[in-house]
Amino acid sequence: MMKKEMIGMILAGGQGSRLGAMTKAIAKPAVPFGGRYRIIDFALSNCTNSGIDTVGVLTQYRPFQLNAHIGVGAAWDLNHAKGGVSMLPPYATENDAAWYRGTAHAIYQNIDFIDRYQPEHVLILSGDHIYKMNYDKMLNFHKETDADCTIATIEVPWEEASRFGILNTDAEFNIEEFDEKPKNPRSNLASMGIYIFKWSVLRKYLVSMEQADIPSDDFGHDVLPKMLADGNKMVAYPFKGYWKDVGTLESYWEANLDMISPKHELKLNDRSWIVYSQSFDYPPQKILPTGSVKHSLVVDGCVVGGTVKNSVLFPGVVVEEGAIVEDSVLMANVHVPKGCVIRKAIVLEEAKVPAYSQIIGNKDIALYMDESEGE
Amino acid sequence: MMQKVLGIINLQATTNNFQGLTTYRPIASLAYGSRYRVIDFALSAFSGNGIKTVGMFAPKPYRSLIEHIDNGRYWGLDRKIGGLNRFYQSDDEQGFVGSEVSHFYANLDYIMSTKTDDVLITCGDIVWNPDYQTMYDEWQASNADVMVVYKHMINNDSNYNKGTILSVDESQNVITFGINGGLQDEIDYSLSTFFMKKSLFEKLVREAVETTRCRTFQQIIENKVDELNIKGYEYEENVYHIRTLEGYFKANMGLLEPTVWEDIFNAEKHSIGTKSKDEVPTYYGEESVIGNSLIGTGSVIEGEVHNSVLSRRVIIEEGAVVENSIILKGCIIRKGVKLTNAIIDKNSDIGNNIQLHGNENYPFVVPKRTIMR
Repeated sequence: MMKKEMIGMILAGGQGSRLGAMTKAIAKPAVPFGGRYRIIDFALSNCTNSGIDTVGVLTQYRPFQLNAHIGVGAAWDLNHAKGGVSMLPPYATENDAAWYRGTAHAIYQNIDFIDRYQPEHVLILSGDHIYKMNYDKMLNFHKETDADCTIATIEVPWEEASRFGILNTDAEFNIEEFDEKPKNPRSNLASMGIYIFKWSVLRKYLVSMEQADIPSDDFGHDVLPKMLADGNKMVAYPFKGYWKDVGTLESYWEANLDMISPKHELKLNDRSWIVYSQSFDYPPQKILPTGSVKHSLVVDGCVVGGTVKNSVLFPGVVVEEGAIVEDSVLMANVHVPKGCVIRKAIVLEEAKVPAYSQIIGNKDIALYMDESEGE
Repeated sequence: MMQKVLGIINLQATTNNFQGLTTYRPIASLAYGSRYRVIDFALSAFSGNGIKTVGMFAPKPYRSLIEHIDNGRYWGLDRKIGGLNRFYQSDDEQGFVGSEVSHFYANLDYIMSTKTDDVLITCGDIVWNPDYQTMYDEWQASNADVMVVYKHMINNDSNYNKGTILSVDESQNVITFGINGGLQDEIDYSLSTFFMKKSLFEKLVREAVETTRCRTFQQIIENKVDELNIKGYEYEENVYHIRTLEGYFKANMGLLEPTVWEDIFNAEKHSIGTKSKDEVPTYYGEESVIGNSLIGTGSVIEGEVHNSVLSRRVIIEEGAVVENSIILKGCIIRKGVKLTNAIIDKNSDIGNNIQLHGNENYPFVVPKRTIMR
């Protein structure tokens, strides 16, 4: 019907439970990041900027915020009549109703969706990562090597390699072995969880493994090792640049504060690779006569009458005169009245902090939300 | 409910060139208030008040409007039913170019074909946040043929010189229209915003084209002041009808005053939409000093900014001091620069240690893409 060379499938169903209360109400890809984004904006914008116009977003855990955020995809220029963005939650058939049991199973359940576009290749992405990547370059690499599967990899520090899924390759980046969290890593090429498959090959594996009752829920655990064992051509694509999977509250906080510097490696400000997001009709940001803002990010709708230092303010944040905010992340519409001190903290969306509150993190990051949020 | 109202934006031809700011664009598409263009307020007022059918009539130059307005989606006006229709006046309306009335006349088919009964006609260069519903209800209750919205003000602002003023009797009937020549201490200034039945609008436009020499819609109404029952509606909140460079400057600076901010951006009122540019958050440096200012996204502020309005992607380098100024999109203000009462048009680059000082009433204007060393 409408043939596409490659379509993107973004896995966005995970909870990200290590982020604790932050993902109590929303899926990890919907977690706000960097002043005006949600984490999934990076994958969606990479698709758009790479020329991919057909994207499926696989949702499962608490999808409401994601649905509202993505809408028809206009913010990412993905509101196409032919293709565009499609939200793909689990569904029922005449025979059964199944949750997605894992990354590969989620794709298996959406074979019909992918078949509609008759793609040569399918790009599998995670909606959890913060990075800029040109998938078109990766596709060219995939085609030049004539691989059945290409896995994006990044060099990680050797001492951290044992925390990652490591790929051992030959000099031409042909994958010889998967080494999941190795005690003694032989390589520092970590899988980024980004795959390009020849669709015909992946489709065959998903269907046959399911039919033969071979465990096939997960790419990393089940499908990729089986494909390698069967002798398929699998290559590692070496990616260079900033890439972050914010797994914990601490790393989330740190990644946000790192983003403040205009010299950040991610180059958010680069207009040739814009990270798109939903925009809202807030008034301009206003710094009052009493306000002071140092080394911080501020966006539309913020009103600052107090002191803000080394912090990231999302849209609509109000910091009243006499309030102090330092080393903190304040999400959309947070209200900080006079007398408050917020330091080394994350304050969740819509929270109305009572006057004269002290929200101060020490070894751990302080996390504040309105009481109704946590219920 | 205002679904039966056709909103018309009547972009009057600009005669004043604002020291170059409006050479390439109408007042309606001047950048304003850090993230807007002036016309955003007219469009948001329609959509924010539930008016879903809008016609915009624009004389030249309109290139920047076409780009900004697109299909009206930023104001929720990209509708299948109703929505925003744009009428850009073409050169082949020979002999009538520059005439609002003939532009309406040429497009009466559209106006009459919309599924609406009433017309709300306004201009594209007013900054406000009006409650059209209340005005509409008052007009309906009054049974007047026409209702015109005006602002009572002290006559000390050059922006309103030569503007249209009116006089009303004690029951708000409009007695006369006239031109503000500065004689009166206080004036009732017409905000060029009218309510009337669509059938009356059609009749007035046809008559005007066929039997009079009226070129503007205001002239039609003035000619009919004795014939029609015209009511006045006094608008009490803050409003700026931008007519001159000084008026544009004041309208920007006005947003820094809390009462004006409340009247225009109060969260209880409709929000003001604009075209999103997907800018990154604004970075404030370690040494930045900011007070009482509006700052656009994508900007990098390392220097000092007071009582100023900065648009998107403005760079203020360390040691630069900006006071009482408007800086439009994409400007670089380099180290040691001092600006007071200046308007720097977009994409200009003001080199190290340059000093530019205007007067509060006569701001110093730097045209767009100026490189000063």
